[in-house]
Parts: sequence; structure tokens; C-alpha cells
Amino acid sequence: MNTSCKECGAALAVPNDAIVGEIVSCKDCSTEYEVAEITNGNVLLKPAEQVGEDWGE
Amino acid sequence: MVRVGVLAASGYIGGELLRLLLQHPEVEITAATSRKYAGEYVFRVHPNLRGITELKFSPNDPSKLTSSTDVVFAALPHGESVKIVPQLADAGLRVIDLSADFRLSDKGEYPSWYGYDHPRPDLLEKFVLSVPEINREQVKGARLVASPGCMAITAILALAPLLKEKSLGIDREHIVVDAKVGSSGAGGKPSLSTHFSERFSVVRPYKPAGHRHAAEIEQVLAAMAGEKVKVSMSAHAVNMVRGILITSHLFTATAVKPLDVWKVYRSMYTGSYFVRLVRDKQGPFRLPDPKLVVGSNFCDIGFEIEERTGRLVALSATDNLIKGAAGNAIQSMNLMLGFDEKTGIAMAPLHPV
Repeated sequence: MNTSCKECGAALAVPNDAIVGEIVSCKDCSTEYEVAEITNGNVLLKPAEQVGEDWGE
Repeated sequence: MVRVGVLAASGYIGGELLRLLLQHPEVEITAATSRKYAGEYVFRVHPNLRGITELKFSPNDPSKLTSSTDVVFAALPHGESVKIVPQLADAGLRVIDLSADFRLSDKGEYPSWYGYDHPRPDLLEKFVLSVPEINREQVKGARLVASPGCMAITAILALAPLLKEKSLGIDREHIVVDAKVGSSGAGGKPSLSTHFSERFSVVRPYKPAGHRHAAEIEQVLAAMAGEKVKVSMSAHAVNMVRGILITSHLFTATAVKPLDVWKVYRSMYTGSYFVRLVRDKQGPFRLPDPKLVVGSNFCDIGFEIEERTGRLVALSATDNLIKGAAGNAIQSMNLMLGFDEKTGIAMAPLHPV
């Protein structure tokens, strides 16, 4: 199943055997998405929770 | 095999040219010159080459080079190259010059930036300032090439796509280029400022205004933008031996979106092996860092956007001696001679360093 990364626009391939709740990440920018829904071969992704780093701000 | 010579081969750039050319499958080094070390084994000056070559330095004699070489890399200082390179060019040799003496296409720029009147302005229009990722086709057809300064090429690669794309609405009058460079950028000749006790641990603003590389950057960016561009540049010496990080600040009337900037970079650099786009959401290296390009011909490029002020921050990192000098010169030679541009320089960066 192919879609694109909402952050950087790169092609994002979701494995055909992916299941709801699975995490996929973009190879270009490593933004992580959670598989929210799969309907008739179409996949709906939502941003996965990510922990930011503290750089001394 | 193509016969190549390296003029002024005893400096750091000369040493990198020799190291890389010795491993290049299509060339044979027939001359490595040095006024100071003529007659000496190359590995006595470049000890990393011990056991790899028995080559000796020869004197800087242009007439000998014309008979023994097909291509010459000139790593002479600014102002010295212009005294020797014209003889090689007039003799029909292919020349790749790494000084600033043939980088600027307008002879009128030399007195103000370099303090001399150019003695051979006729050659300036024959030299191609080579940034292969931007003007690959021009380089392919060239016999005479000037390789940009290390900070200049690192800045140019990050900025050129942004200036070319008009829809981003970049303010062309206010572009700030902030450079941080390692000690090898100052060359191999020691001085008080390069003495370990004085150089170690510094973040020294050695040229906060008026850096010469701004002239090259403006020249290339103006060609991209189709109109005049003004670049303000500051350079700092930092605590590295190799590497450059350029942080460029650009301003737009309205904030640009990350997706738009990704598209702009991909449109120019897709298919360019030596440019890597780095804007990662995870790990310690989320944006370009010279630490991850050392030993390679890569230029890593990334960006960040500050919506509140309409600021676009473009970041780029190179190994100053490779993509910033010897690697870019060899990439240019590969194109000039019809080789794959990666030949001899496709190595991965070192990690960790």
C-alpha cells in the first residue's frame, strides 16, 4: 500500500500485511505514523506520538 | 590512463588530491610539484601515503608539466596560481584550479576582493566555476575549471535551489551566511593563531564581515535568481580539524511550508549522489553535521523554518578538504573526461570521528 509522508512528501510504502496500530516511518525524514484504519486496501495514517529531545532550551 | 599532475602538492589540499587520485582507476599521477620539497618523497610530507606511493615531489616547472600531463590540478595560493596557470591553459592542458584566481567571472571584482588587477581577464570567461550539482553540463564541456572555495560551495549548495525557486519569495537583499570551519581550512603553514594552545577549544570569529567567499556565492546565486543577490557572511574557526557547517538565514514575506522546501531541494538534487537531504525527526543527528561527512565528498543539506519571523534557516555540511576542495575538483575532472562523476570519490564518510 503506497501513500506519501505528510511532513516531507516522500513516498511511503505501508506493508500489505500491516495491521491497525502498527507504526511505519518515512525513510527520508523518519516521521512516524500509526496505521489508524485499513479499508479495502486503502490505509489511513495518523501521526504517531513522538518524544522530543531536551537540547537545553 | 589519463596523466595528471598536482601543482603545489605539499599542502593539505594537495595531499588530499594525491590520496584520492592514487586510488582513482582511470588516472596516473605523473607529477606532484613542490617548490619547498622538490626531490623529497611525497610520503615524508604526507605520512598517510607511506607504502602507497614512491612518488617524489618535482619543482613547479610549467614547461615540464605540459609534456608530462594531460590534466593539472593547481593547488597554489591565491595570487600565485594566476602566474603559472595561464601557461598551462595556453599550452592546451585541461586545468582544474583550486585557488580563487579564476573563480570570479568579472575582472572588476578582483581589485576589491583580492587586491590585484587580473593579468589575464581573457581567461576568466573560459573558466567554469564548477558546482557539478548545479552546472554539470557546463563542466562536461569545459577544459578549464575553477573549483569554488570550501565555504562558498557549502553555502551555494544549500542556497541555490532556494534562490532559483521564485515562489518561495526569498528576500534577495538580506541573506546571512554563518560559517564554522575546522583548522585544516587555514592550510598547512603554521602560525601563532594555528598553534595548538591558541587554536584548541576556540570559537573564534575570524572574519565577522567581508569574507571573500561572499563574492563567489553572490555570483552563483545571482545566476540562479536571474537578478542581483546580496550575501552577508561571517566565518568562525571552531574546534575541529576537518569540516564546515554553514548556517544560512533567509527571510520571506510569508512563512514557507516544510513540504515546499523539500520539493525545491528534491527538484534540483534528485539523482545527485553527493547531496543528501537531512531533516530527520529522530536520533542525535537531525540536521547536517560535519561530523557525518568527514572523509567523504558528500554535502548534507537540511533546513528549519521560524514562522514567527518569516525566517528560513538552511544548513549545510561538508568536509572542507574533499567536497570543499579536492573531491569537488576530481568530480569535475571526471565530468570533463567523460567518466562517471563518482569515480574514485564515492567513499562513505567516517564514523565515528
